[in-house]
Amino acid sequence: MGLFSTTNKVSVRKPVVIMQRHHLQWLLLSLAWVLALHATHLPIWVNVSVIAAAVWRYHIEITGKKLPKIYLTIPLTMLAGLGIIFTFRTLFGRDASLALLVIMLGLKLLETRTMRDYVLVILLSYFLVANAFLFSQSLLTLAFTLPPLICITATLISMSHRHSQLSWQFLLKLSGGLLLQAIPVMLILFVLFPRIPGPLWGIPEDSYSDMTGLNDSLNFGNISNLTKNSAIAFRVEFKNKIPPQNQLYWRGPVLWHQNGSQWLVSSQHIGLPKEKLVTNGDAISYSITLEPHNRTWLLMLDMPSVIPNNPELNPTLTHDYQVITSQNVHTRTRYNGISHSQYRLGNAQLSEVERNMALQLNEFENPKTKALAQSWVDQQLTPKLIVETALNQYRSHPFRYTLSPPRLGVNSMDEFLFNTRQGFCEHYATSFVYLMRAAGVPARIVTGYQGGELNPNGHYLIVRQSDAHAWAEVWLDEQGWVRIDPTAAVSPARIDENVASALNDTTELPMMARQDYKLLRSIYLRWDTVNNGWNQWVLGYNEQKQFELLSKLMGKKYSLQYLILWMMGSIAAVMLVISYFLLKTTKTLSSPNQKHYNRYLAKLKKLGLIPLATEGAQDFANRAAVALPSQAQSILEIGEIYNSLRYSQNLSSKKSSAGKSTRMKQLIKAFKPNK
Amino acid sequence: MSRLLNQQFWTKWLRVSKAQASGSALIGIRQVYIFPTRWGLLYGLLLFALLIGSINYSLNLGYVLTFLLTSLGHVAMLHTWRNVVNCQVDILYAERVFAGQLTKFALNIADTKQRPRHSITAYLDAQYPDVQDLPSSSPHDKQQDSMTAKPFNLSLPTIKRGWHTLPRITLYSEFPLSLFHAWAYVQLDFRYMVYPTPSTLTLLKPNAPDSGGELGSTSQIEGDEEFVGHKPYQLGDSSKRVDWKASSRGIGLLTKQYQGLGASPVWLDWSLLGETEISSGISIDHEAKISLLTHWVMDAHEAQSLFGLRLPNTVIYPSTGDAHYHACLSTLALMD
Amino acid sequence: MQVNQISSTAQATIEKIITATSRIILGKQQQIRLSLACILAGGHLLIEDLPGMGKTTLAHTLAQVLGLAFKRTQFTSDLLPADILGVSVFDRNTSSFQFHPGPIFTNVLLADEINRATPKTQSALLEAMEEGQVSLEGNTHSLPAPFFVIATQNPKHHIGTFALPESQLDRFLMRIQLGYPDAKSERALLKNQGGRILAGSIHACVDAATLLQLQNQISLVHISEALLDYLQAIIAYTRLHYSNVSYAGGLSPRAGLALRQCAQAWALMQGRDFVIPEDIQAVLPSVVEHRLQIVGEQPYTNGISIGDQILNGVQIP
Repeated sequence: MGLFSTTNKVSVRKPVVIMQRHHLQWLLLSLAWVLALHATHLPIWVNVSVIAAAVWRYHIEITGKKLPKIYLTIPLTMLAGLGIIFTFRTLFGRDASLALLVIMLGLKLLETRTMRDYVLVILLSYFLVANAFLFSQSLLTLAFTLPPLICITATLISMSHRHSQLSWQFLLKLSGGLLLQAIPVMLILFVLFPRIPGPLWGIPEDSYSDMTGLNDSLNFGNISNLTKNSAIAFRVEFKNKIPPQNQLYWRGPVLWHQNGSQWLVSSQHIGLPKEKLVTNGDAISYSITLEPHNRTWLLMLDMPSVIPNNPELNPTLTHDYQVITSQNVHTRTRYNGISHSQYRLGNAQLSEVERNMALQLNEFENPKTKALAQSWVDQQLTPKLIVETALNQYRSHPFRYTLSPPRLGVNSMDEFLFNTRQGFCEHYATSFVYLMRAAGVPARIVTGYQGGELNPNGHYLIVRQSDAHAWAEVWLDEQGWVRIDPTAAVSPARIDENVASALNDTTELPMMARQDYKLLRSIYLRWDTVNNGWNQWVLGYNEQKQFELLSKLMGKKYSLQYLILWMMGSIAAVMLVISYFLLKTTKTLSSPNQKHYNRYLAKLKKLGLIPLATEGAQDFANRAAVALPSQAQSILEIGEIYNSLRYSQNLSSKKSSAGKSTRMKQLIKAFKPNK
Repeated sequence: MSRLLNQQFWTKWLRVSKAQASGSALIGIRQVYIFPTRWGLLYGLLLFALLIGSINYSLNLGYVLTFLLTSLGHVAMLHTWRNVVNCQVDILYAERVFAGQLTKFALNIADTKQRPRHSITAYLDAQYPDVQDLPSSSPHDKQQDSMTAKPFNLSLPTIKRGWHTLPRITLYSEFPLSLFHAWAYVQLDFRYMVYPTPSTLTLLKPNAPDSGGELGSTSQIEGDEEFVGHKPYQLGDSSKRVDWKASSRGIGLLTKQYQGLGASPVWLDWSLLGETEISSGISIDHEAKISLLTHWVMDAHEAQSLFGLRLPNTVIYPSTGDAHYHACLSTLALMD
Repeated sequence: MQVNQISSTAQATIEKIITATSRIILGKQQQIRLSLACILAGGHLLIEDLPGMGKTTLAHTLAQVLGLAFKRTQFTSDLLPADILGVSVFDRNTSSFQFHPGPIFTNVLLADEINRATPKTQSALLEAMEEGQVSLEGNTHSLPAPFFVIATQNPKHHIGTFALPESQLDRFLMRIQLGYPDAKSERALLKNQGGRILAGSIHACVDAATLLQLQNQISLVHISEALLDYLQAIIAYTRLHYSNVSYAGGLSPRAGLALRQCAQAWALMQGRDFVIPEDIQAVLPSVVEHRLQIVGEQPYTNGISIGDQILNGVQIP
């Protein structure tokens, strides 16, 4: 009973702490940084409103007016919510919830007055900084989050020092210092904190909307648009030699189904028997770091003989040798693969279903093309000859390889083959397959990437979206599925070198896909090496990598308990080291004379003679001389020399002070205290 | 059982920095408590949210930030703790006040580890805290940071007269991030005096007879007519006593003062309070009598008159001046 | 090198002065040294003690040993400022005012029992002390050099005195107390019928010019940065410990300078051309104690003088 009554009496309600103007200035500065971090992810009206709210709040602070009343803030809040719904059609999802959070934070400013409000704004600001990583996890983004972090922390420090204002230099220094001191434990946690595979709940669909890559269908313009994008699709490290450029066909979706000008991945392939692969020659093994593309396929070098074994990806091989995962690739993923450039793909006979699929064409279209193909059939050409004839068709007529072909109508193949004759790889691949099928040769389109750029710094290959490509595979009874690239017939440079050398006018290509700007390119390649390391070691550090690394470090004993034990132990060790440095009294650097004298004091200490903190050297010498009469003479002399070395002006000459110094050294060396 | 639950019981188990022989108390490593503040708990919530978010979105940089902020919290804890530890507390002075007023104490809280301390708050009574920065104990740092040592001014309400021991001082800091509250208790060996509350009754002093003759032993009063100095002329001073020669120097009229023949002393007599009781018709209890005497001592001191105090067990002979005034008040404060 | 040489001769001179004085003032070596340090530092000295402790004899002897013109004024309650400073008298022959200098126009003025005079007279003296000149009726008369005042006073609580206010006390560089002599000195004193008889036989050891030269050397004594830190720490300590909410006590900047000068003088007297912490500690109680007072209720000060409190409270850097 007593306890409660007394504690009730003792406890005093904490008074409401009203913050001052310099705290507001710091808070607004922090918010400005946070807003700058997100400005490009937000609708303009949100940016403008938040800035307006900040200006309004600051105006209130200077003029000393009252904060807006509830009847003003509540409608404003509702209006902002409606604005978000109107802009995004939802309140959820990555972009909408970010915008909502930012605008609510802006409105919160209008009623921010007490310590409580300030802390809430500060914590939300930290949260918003973390949100930036939903949009990009590059090194640059990390660098951009540093100023807001330092600034927010400085604000928190200034809020903890409410009785007077600290200088901004002090605040920034302390804030930076605290963050620096936080790094060691952060690193330990990063490496050792047990990783839990996500996601824990559904992720808003728009989170990956801005990921680019190949589609599971092919329309005219798809790939040429992709070609204008310099974003990296994936990076490849080869275990051995890098195969020649014209062998670098990165296999993606295989398209079977033609519907007008669109080609689709057929859903009927489920249940089809897997094509048989017979390989010759050397295996090419490599590992690919795939940028997230929000699709299920993993790009592999033609022709994959061993598929990746990443358990979290659960990759499977389709009958037509695409490697697909059970889930869309949302994170940067690294996998190993083995391929062969010499192979025979396909069973002995093409099954009826496959043959039908590989010959499927819409009726009543492209009469001229069909007629051309029919003429080859009428000549009773063998499939092999048909292929040759078709390729000759491209070589003998003035076909042009261009990124901006003219638009095509309903009979797109007729128009392309007989009129415009300007196109990109997608045109050549589709028209070729169309011709084949019309001529009764089973054929399919393979999309993917072709080529890649070698980064000499890291000795790996960068494959960009601009390397996107489409080619054909035709069925020849003796050889199985054979890769035919009609683009090579028109523009060999595209295959042997790259897209830029194949085009006359490269202005439409992204800068990084072009060949000019040598210096810039080399800087870029270096930067990409750093980024690649960053991706491999930081962003790619997942539960599997953690497992691999720690098993290597800890041996077979590796287990969750062991991991946690290690984590706790090393954090404790680091904290001890930090606190040692924090608690260490900074001793002023002592001169050599001081060091000698300290040695002498240590000798006397053994006899219980310790100078007081308020006792001068002479007084101490007198005291010690009385205590040790036998050594009185040298004790007094040491005291005198020490005093003159320490307090006199070294004006007389350096020589005499050096002489005194050696004399003291000798005396101290010879000094053996005994009673 | 209720006694066991009494707060006093628990305070025994508290770790308190006690005064050393030198009178000051040093807050040692083991005497500092630390606990998250409500902002610290909120910060913990933020960390949890960040962790969940990072797991859900497999955001490795999210992890980096989460762990950085986690670690920042740890570092802040260390800093808060080290801000309080190894501070030395001693008391500079206490002001003597009358019961019912606030006593003011000046404390000197100083760093001993050559580093400046920020936002150190100290209080005796949580309602009257004082917060200061402490400069580093190293003289080299003092020139760099422009902090100067200022005393902490703490107040404590007083109720009872007499000697009191200084209660436990609480010292805390939440610097640098307000996430942690580090505090320590300090018990100094110091007692302070509280004078009795002066009475608000406006009762007339009983006219005590000039008891100089009766007491007869104070040489100061019975001495020869020795000139002891001047005092400014006041209306009513005998013209015979005006020192005309000295007054002609232009410093105003001066009256000669002679020992033994000065203003007759006022005796404030406990035993005569009964008369006051009768004459005013108000019954005055023991404490009220002390209050009344206190009031009269204050009046007499203000009027700069020669006054003495006669209490049941003590007699203070007439005199003037601050020392006399305080002696009278202390005696009253310590009455049974 | 030069500084060193000068100080060795200086030390010899100083030792001579001290020996001569100690022959008269028995058993008060420390007080004599402090008084001399005060004079060398160019400051005024306040000797505070009960009557009959030899205050006047000390002042008189010092003046004679230093070979200085000496005048003594007994301060009483009816002493007027003009009695010290001098007056202008109309001379009928020349039809002009003639200035008749007061006793202050000398090298050493012994102001005996200064607290017996009225505040007005006290302040007239103190103003002259501070400025080294006398301003009367629009004319300024410079005092001779060297000039210093040795004032004596009875402890304040004696009746019929006007205690010097703190602002005036600050004008005195040092305050010393003599105290009773030890048994041996007391015996010698009784045997020789006191010092005053011998005082007549004192010969000057130096002259005014030598004294001025010695005074000039004080400023050449080196004081290191570390000791300036120490001085600052002492000043900061007093400002913290001897102030309260309503009263800003602690040492004034003038007091800080005084402490420095006295320490330099003390160092010179020890034959050093640099100050060591012990010099500051030796002069500190005499320099600061009359400028400070204990405020409010202070703990643990029983029996410990303010000087010792400071010395025990401030570490040597």
